Amino acid sequence: MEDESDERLLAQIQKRDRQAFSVLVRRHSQRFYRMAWRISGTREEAEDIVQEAFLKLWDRPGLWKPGKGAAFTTWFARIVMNAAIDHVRRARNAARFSTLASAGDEAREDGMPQAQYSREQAALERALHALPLRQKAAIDLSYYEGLSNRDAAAVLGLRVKAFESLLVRARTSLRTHLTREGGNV
Amino acid sequence: MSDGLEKLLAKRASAPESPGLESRILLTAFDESRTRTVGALFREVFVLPHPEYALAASLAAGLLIGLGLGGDSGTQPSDLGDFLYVTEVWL
Repeated sequence: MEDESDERLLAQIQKRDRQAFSVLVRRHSQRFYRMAWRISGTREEAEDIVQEAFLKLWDRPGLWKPGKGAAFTTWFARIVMNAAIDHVRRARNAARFSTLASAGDEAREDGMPQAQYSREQAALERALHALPLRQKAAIDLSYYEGLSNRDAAAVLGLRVKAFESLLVRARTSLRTHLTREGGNV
Repeated sequence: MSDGLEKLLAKRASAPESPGLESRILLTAFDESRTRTVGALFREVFVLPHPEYALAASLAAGLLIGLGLGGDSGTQPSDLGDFLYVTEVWL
């Protein structure tokens, strides 16, 4: 069953097959957790968002409609992304931001001096935090999920042209914010 | 967009690990008490240990439903089904 496609697993899940659900969860939970983390900014919230999304699928497997064109991962990304955006809209505050801004300190990988690296990463996190949530989601889907514009547009429920415009606005906002902070981007 | 921003985005901190997330999701999903219906709870509490109460309670519930008193109380079809099941078993 480990080698079954997502769509085959979903057909089994609709018959209440626990093993199929377990395989799907093990296959995708970390990926969607990372997506939720990049939007919400905290581990606990990201875990809750992903858990709720999978529980929704287990409780109501008929939500998945095979043959509608979208891959499972695109469809489920939409559920997770919408949940994350709703979550952040409800709970956005300065405390959460400080958690995000400090995250860069733990991730230095190159030879850049720690102080400079942290300063740049903190500025980036501030810039991302300042973005409207859908712009932030567009950056996430394009840069970190590696989705095509077509799939990313489907996740956000947009036409491709509208997604491309959103991405351009997000990049422009980021650049403006970083330049204002003295960065060289 | 300039290379500077591209590089900065590429070096963004990655999400912390979430060990045990899969187990947590699966344990919660398969916890049957999470989705237990009112009717299932009724069977568990009354029918198995106290069958004599179950007959009286199911008849009373059937009577209430029959009189339409439960119509706007948020009773779900699955709960009605469970009550009728209990009544059917006893009759």
